[in-house]
This record gives sequence, structure tokens and C-alpha cells, in this order.
Amino acid sequence: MTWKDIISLGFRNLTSRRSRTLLTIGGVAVGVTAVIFLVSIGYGIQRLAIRETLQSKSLSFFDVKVGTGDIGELDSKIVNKITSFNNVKGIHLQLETPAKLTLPSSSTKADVIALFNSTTYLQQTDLTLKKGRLFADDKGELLISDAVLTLLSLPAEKVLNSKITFQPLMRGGLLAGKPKTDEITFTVVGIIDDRETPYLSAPIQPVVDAYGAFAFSAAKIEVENVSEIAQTRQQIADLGGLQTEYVGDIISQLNGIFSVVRTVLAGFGLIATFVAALGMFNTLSVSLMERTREIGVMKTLGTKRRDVWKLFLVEGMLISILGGIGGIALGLGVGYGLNGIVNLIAKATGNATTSFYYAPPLFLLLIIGLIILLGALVGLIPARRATKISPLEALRYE
Amino acid sequence: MAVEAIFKVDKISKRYPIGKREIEVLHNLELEITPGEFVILIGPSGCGKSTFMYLMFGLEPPSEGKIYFNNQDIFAMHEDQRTELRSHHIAMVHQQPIWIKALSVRENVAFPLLLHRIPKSDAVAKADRMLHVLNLEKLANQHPHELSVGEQQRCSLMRSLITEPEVIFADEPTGNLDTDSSIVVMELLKTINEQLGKTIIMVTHNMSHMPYGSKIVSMIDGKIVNVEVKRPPASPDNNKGISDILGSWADRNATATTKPASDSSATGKVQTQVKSKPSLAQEISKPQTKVTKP
Repeated sequence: MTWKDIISLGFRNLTSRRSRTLLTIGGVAVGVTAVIFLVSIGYGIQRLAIRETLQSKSLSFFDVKVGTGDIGELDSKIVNKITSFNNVKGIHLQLETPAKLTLPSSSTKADVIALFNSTTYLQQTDLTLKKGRLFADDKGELLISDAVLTLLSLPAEKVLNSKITFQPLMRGGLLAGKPKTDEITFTVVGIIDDRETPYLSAPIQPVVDAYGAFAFSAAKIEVENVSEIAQTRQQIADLGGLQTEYVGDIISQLNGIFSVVRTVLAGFGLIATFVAALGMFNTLSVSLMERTREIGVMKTLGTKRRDVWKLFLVEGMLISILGGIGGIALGLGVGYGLNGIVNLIAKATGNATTSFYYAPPLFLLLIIGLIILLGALVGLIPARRATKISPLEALRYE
Repeated sequence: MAVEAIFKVDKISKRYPIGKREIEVLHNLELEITPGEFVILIGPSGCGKSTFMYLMFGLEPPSEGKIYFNNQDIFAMHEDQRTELRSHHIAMVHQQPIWIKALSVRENVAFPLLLHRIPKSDAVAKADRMLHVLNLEKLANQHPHELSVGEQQRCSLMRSLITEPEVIFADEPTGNLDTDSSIVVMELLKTINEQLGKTIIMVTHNMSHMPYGSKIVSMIDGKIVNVEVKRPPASPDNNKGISDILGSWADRNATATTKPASDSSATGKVQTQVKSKPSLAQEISKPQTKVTKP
């Protein structure tokens, strides 16, 4: 028989026992829906978590911090060394000092932390602005945290766009020469959304120019080639006393955690699929029993054993493929539908919309492959039994 | 010149294990069947005649002895070769026709041709022509189980004939039929034998069928007790094809039964003559995709 005839006959056999076939296909669809729905929620939440971790950060940056115990220094010499490494595209430094801050208009003073860095540096942090914008590196602008406003007991509107004066209190070790205690006056262009830590963030270059700082507290290294980031980190670690942190590590950890979560979720779905597979096996076995004489007569008419084998395999695969298509459609429909409803509610209540459901195309392809495999595996035993049926016994079967 | 046997049964025995012991259901059987013979295996129930026929059909090997088809030991063949034999050279009609339930009458009749990998459209067209010759075309789209037993049996004969086998085995083909339908089926078998020259090997315990046989093989307790040759084997009418022959048979049969056919009574139909009906030989011999025999 040709494959076309076998598939056609398999399909006819299934449709001739419509209710049973539909129930079995429904069972498979429910199992596949469960797998798709649960695992896609896993993928969706993982994607959310990674987005939350990454935000605007780029995977071509990693952090360098001075280790504990005065072992290492991130001074100009080390910075020059790091810059000379092959894979290093750029180095963005941060200097951290205590500072005394004064708002000239009210002469209120506050002790804060001063972080001197750059726009690029800030873009690679979790910093969120409550109001205003990031400073420009060369225009005498700075940002202050919400906590500073609390210290100054002033509303954001009064401080934003007004001049602020601060005096960095440099540690001796941080300075190249004699400490300077000049006051610096910058314009506040943004309020950082942080109610806990009173700090200001200002461009580093004017400070370096003024104080000649040679020891920095942290740096963000931009690399040319992300795939070689591990080697670059190792080179820096080999300098001694410096620690590196990479957002990719966190993402790897997240991926690891979520792959466990997804496996557990898939496990629940697979239980449903396993039950559906038992249903399929039962349907095919009952069908085999009912059609014993039919198979006997097919063999007496000259049907080859392998064609009988193919027929049962095809029937198993047709059930699983149809159930799989239904399950994928249902799983995607339910998941994205639910996501849509949640977002509608979020919009109506003024909350941000989010996407907690995500079915990657590769995962769907994997499911399709597994469905076909499931059909073939479940169909295999009845197919084998069918080929072993003795036509003589089958003809005498009541 | 002696005609070569199409089937030769050489001292076969068949034993089945029953618990720890074996019982012998066939004992040292010898038989030769020449082409064109209408062999009737007759005997009481349980005498082993059906088992004997199934052995000759190649469904089960004998415990001892050999069975030759055209001088080839059928149990020395590979299973696939025996399947080819059943697909191309021999066919069987059962007491209760067994159908592929999902398929219509037409598709069931066409099914053996699909095993020859003939395109379905050609196979179905041939099945249609064969059903038409026997006035069964109106049943073509029905499911076999909607037909009366007599109609089923005639359709079953068409299914066995569609691949134009050399031998047709019939296992009590009239066992479930009333007298009228039995006569119709026996007359059809007779026509297939006498005019198409097909060898018929039929199992029955109905003595009224004896006149149809050219060779009567009587069996008792697994042994052949008598072989009576009543007439020489039929030789096919080479000037006529299957459809001519069966077509005129159907004409005769329809003329003789222009009353509500007993086997059609389930549907209350009256069998009527279709005057323009072509004969089966014409239909079968129409150019179409050739059935290749190995």
C-alpha cells in the first residue's frame, strides 16, 4: 500500500469511531495544553526577571570593584593596564566620597555620598529617575536621590533645575596630590528614585580635573567581544585585589533557576500528557481488539505485515498530531488570552502592563517533535501486536 | 497430456497442542488439484476441512508434509512471498464476509488493488465496474454492514475476483444464507469456475451443493476418505472475458428473480434487469492500470 492509502485508511478508521477518537484527541489536547501553558508561564516569568535584571544594561559591560582588605587599588596605573587589554573597548570609572551638600537658596546642609561617574556608567546601573533626566557629562549638572530631598525637607519641584553646592571630602588615598576642599556648584537635573540612601551623582571628569583623583572605587568595563568576556575578567582578576561582577552571571543563575522551575512545571503538564498517552494506548488497543477479524481479512487479502504496522502507527500519530495541534492552539489561546485580560485590568487600574506568558518558537517546535514521537511510541505496541496477529486466529476470533 | 497440478498436497498432517498433549486434526492428507477444478471439501463439522483449506491458503503450516502451489512449496517461501501469493494468485471468500468497517462497499471491493499500489481512483473505478455488472452498483456507497448477507457475499466474491486470482477458496460461502441466496452465490461460483476457468476450492457440509463440484473430497476425522472426480476441469471460454460471462450470468439471475430478492428484502428493493449493463469481462478487460503479478 502507498503511504497515502495507509494515511487515508487510518484517518477513516479514526473517523468511523468518532466519539472515542474525539475523546482521545481531547485528552491529548488537554495534556499538551497543560505543558504549553505551564512551561510558557515559566518562560514568560523568566523573561520578565531577565528584563528586570538587565533593564537598559548591555551584556558588553562588566563591573570591576576594589576587593576588601586594601589588597588592590583601582588607580591610574591599573586603569591604564586594563585599557591596554585586547578585548577592552572602554573603561568607565566611578569615584565615591562623602560630601557636604548645600542648597544656596535655603542654606540647608546635608551629609551625603557623592558618586562621580558618567552617563555611560549610569546607563549600565539600575538607576531609575523619579523626575528629570540624566546629567550631561560636561555641563555642570548632577542628580540627587529622593532621600536627599527628605534630608533637605524640600519638594522635588523646588530643587530640580536649581543650583546646588557640594564639597567632596576626599580621603588622602584617593588623591594624587594635596587634598583640595573647593566647593563645586552644579545644577540639579534629575531626582533619583531612592528614598533610602542620600547621595548625589555627578560627572567624574571635573572632579578628576580639580582633585587629580588617582584611586577609583569602581569601574564598568566595556568589551569588544562578549564571548571573550570570561578571559578579560580573568586578566583583571590576575592583577590582584580586584573583583569583577557581570550581569551575565546573574542571568545565567536566573536561567538555571528557571530551567528548574520550568522542569517542575513541565512535570505537572507531562503527568496530564502521560494520562492522555494512556488513553491513546487504550483507544488503539481496544481498536485493535475490535478489528482483529478485520486485520485477519486484510492479511488474507495480501496486506503485508509492515503495512499493518504502518497503519496502527499512523493512527497513533494522527491522534497525537491532531491532539497536539489542538493542545498548542488551546495552550497559546489560554495563555495569551489570560495575559491580555490581566493587562486590561492593569490598564484600567492604572498599572503597567506586562507580559508573563511567552512561548518561544523553539519550544513549540520541540513540543511538535515530542507529540509526533509520543504518537509513534504509543502506536508502536499496538502496531507490533497487529503485525503478530495470526490471520487464521484472527478469522476465528469472536 | 497430463495437466500439471495447481495445488499438490503431499502427505500433510496437522497437530495442535492441547495442554500437555497434542491432537491430530489432519492425518496424512494427499490431494492434487488441477486448474479449472471445482473442488468441494465435504464432511461433518469438526472433520478438519476448514483447517485443511486454510493450510492450502498458506495461513498456517502443516506439522508434516508439504503443500505445493504451481510446484512451489508454499511453506518454504518467505512470509512476504506467501503474502504476495495471497495478494496475486489466490483469494478467499469467508462464510461471514469480513469487511473493513470504515470503508464503503466500493472501497472494500477495491481494497485488494490498493495492495498492488494501484492508484485509488483506478481501483475504485474497477470496483464500480464489477459491482455494476452484478447490479450491485447502488450499494457501492453504502457500508457493507447495511447490506443483506446475500448482497455482502456477492460483494465479497467481487472483492476476491478483482485481482483476477487463479484460485478462489470459499469457506462455507452459503453457510449464513437462505436457500435463494445460496443458489445465487453457488451459481455465481459455478460461472466463475466454468466460464472463467478459475479453480474453486470450497468447504461445505451442505449436500445440495454436490452437483456444483467437479471433484468431491470427502473428509472424516481429519482424513480424506474418498475423492470422486465427476467431470473434467473447466476450461475458460477464451473468447469471452470475465465481464461477458458474469454479465450474462447476472442477466439470467436477474430475469429469474424479478421478485423482491430474498437477500435484498432487508432494504425492500426489487432486483431489476439493467439492460445496458456491460458484462464483467468487458469491464475487467477494459484498459486500465495493469495488475502486475510477481
